[in-house]
Amino acid sequence: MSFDLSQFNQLFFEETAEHLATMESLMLNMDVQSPDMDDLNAVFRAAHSIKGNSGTFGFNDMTAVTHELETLLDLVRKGETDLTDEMVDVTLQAGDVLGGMLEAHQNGEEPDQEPAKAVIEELNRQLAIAKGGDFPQSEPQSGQTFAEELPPQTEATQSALTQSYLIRFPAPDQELDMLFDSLKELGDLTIIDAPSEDSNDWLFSLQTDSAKDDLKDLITFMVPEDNLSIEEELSADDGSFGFFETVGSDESSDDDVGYGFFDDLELSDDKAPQAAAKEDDDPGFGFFDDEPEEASSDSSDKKDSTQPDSDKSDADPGYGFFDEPEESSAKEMSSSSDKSSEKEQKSDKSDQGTEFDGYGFFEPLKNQPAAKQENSSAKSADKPAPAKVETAKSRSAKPAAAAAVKGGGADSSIRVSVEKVDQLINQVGELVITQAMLAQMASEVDPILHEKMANGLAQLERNTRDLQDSVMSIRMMPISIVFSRFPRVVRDLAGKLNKKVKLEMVGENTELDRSMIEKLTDPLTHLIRNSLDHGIESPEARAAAGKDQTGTILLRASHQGGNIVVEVQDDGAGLNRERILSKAQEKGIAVSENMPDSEVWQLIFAPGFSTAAAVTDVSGRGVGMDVVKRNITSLGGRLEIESMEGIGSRISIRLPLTLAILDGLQVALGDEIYIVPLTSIIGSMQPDPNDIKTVSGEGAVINVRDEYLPIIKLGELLNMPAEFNDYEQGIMVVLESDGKRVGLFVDDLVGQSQVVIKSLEANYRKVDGVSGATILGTGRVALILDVEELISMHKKRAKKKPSGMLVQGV
Amino acid sequence: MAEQIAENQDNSEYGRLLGQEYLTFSLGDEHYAVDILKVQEIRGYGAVTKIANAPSFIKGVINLRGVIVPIIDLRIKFNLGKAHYDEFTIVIVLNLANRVVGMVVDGVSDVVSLAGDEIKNPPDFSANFDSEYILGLATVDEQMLIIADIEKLMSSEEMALVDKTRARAE
Repeated sequence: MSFDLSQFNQLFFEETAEHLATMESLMLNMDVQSPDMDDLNAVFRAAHSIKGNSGTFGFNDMTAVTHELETLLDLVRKGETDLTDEMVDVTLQAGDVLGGMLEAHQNGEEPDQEPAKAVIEELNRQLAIAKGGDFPQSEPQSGQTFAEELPPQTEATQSALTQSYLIRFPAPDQELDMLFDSLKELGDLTIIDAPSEDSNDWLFSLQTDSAKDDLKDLITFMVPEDNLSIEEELSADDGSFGFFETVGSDESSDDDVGYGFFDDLELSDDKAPQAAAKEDDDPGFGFFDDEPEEASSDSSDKKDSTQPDSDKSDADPGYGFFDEPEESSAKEMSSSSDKSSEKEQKSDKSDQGTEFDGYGFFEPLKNQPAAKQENSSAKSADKPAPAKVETAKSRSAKPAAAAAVKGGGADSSIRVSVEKVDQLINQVGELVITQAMLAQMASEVDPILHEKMANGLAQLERNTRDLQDSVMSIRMMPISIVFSRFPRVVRDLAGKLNKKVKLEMVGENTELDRSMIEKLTDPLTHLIRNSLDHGIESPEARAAAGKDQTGTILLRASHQGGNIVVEVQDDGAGLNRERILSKAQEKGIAVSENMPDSEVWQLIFAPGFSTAAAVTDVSGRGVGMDVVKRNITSLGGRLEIESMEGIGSRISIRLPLTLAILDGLQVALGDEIYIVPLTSIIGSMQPDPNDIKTVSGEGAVINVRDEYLPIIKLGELLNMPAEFNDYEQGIMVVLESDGKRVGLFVDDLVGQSQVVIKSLEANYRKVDGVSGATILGTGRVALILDVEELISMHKKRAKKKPSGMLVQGV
Repeated sequence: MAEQIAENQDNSEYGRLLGQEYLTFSLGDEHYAVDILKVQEIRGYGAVTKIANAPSFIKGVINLRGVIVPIIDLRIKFNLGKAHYDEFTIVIVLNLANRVVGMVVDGVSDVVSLAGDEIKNPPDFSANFDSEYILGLATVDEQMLIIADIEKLMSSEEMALVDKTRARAE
């Protein structure tokens, strides 16, 4: 049987990226003086998972780096050395290196090994320092593979070794190295008999605390099940049982009868008696319940070393779907913590074994928060766990951790390709249209005679709307995905600029369209860098101004009406009106002294505009705000600036809920309906013929509030028949794009609506002046106009006709 | 001369590859056939949204269950028959290289199964329907069927269905 792991690579990449993100956010929030044990453990677990998985998948370069990292973290975690700033730095650095490698592997390239070597060296150096300098470079070197025993694991296995198995199977055709490596991870592997001339069997013993079934699952990946024999050796520690071991043979397992299935049976030895008291054994949760054990094992200090694996306990082969009902189990645990409890310890047994079953694909990252919360609640067992959870959430100092952790921490989730979701959205959209059609037909029949049908249709309408809402929400993701990277940005930059800055984040769980989240990252990063560089003053200046030396940057996301508002706020110096005005004059931008503030602030979005006194590598080159503005505009959003000198400034980004939907005005032209994006509409009017002038008899302009705007006749431009040619009969819509204003002449205004944007290019081609298409409630297609393109089309046409002179610009 | 002999010998081989089912339709007085596996569905004509600055044979786009599909009228493109639209006007929706295109025809006649040797190489002739887009000719019930290479036709620059850069790349 051959087994190709590469098909799971994508899962590995995704999962590892998540682990790296967790590691980073936890590390950033670490209080170096008194690090939180739970956080340290969580970081360690993340590193450990990356190591295990990368080894399994054969990315040994990553394994090498994580191995060193893990060794260092383990020392800290066990309190053998104190956490230092340098360690935090090197951990973050290692995270970056790993991220780079991951990306390279993902693209099928060979990653650059130089940074890896450098970071391993640095890790070793830190390790040597941590160990008191008498371990110069003798610590495990980079060439190692993960198969070698590591301190934490050895310890784990030693402290929890409970069972010894004799495993025998005939030598299969393929390489077993991987299997052995995996088995070594689980415990002490002794090969008794290798295939030779007189025996074709492998025989070896494995001392592990993993369950027999886990072993079986692991081995049957490589070896046909029917020839496999796994026997328990009697020499093992007392009272350890595998998953399917005889229930009830242990005196403590009585109340588990019937649940024994998924329940890792207790290992009711005497290893963690104090934990036992805190444990909950509610049979109702016995099914999926792994966390409490974990908590309990954590709470007994000597069990610490089992933690790296214990969070994986739910990665039991194929059971990953049954995610812990975290909150409730936590609650349950604390409320009934005095209940009889015997299940602690069993996680020790199962956890380590399960690490490699299914290769951890199902291991949800989110268990870490749960574990964390439960750990802490287990420590203070009489304190209700939910309360603890809330305090963790409300602690504003640690929003990042809470966010990252929370973001992943919701419920069980599955990965689905965006394509499938889009297909679903399309189909539901179609259903809505069909439903509207039915409703239309039904309105033509007698409602009294067909009352039942009318009722049914009314219900259909409700159901389809609900369905549509639910489906649209699938694409929504919490903004914490973007936010979570900023603590790092701020930390690095503040260090570089010698400023003290605190980043606060609010509303990380605000959801918006996934595609938008990706495009929001760059503009937001830019705004935050700007705030740090230009906004927040140096600690001395702040002290002189009577402010707290530590500046604050507030990142806030919220829903406002149909929009998402993301704000970047700082308590720095604020924008300098005079400087902006003089700079604008320098740049040749028309300004006046009595411009309102709001207009002055908008000037900073002009290309090449920077008021920074000196160009730094952070900002000041003036290639930024205009790009930010362009990016936001392309998302259909708006930027607003508020600022007060000496108090601070706030930049708000206002975005539509989703990219797939556009707020548009429907305008009629002949038989067709066109959609004009609402963001580019200034207003509309019934033109007064006196306001319309021609230039050289051809190009027409309209006077709108003392401004002459060129008129674009939509019908003429698109070569479509219009109902009205006479300005008096139609409607003039004043549009603005890129600072240029025009009057668009159409037949009529139909109404305003939100439309779902569809691609015209999928099956056809790009059409000039049209950005896409949509489907109206009637089921007909309507084209969405691209105002910017319309204006440039109009200009080109005017140029082609030499007789037609046109007033350019505004 | 030698070439021609070689071509004739190839003929049966050439035809065998094509032996499969075809959907036949009429355009004016002519009968055409397309590979049935390229046909997604057949539907009535209606609710077409016109596209700005498009050639006259591109009637516009329709909403086909949430997908925007362009509709072309081959009768206009090849000057065959009169292009009039009523409730009996038929659109054959084709799925070609992951793109969906609808074409208006006068009528759909039949599904025929043509064995390889029933399909003859097209002669070289000049016509609106360039021989480049003809895979072969066949006779069914004493009628000549023109077997069209619909994929090549629809992705040609001439049809203006695909962006130029894309057409070249394909």
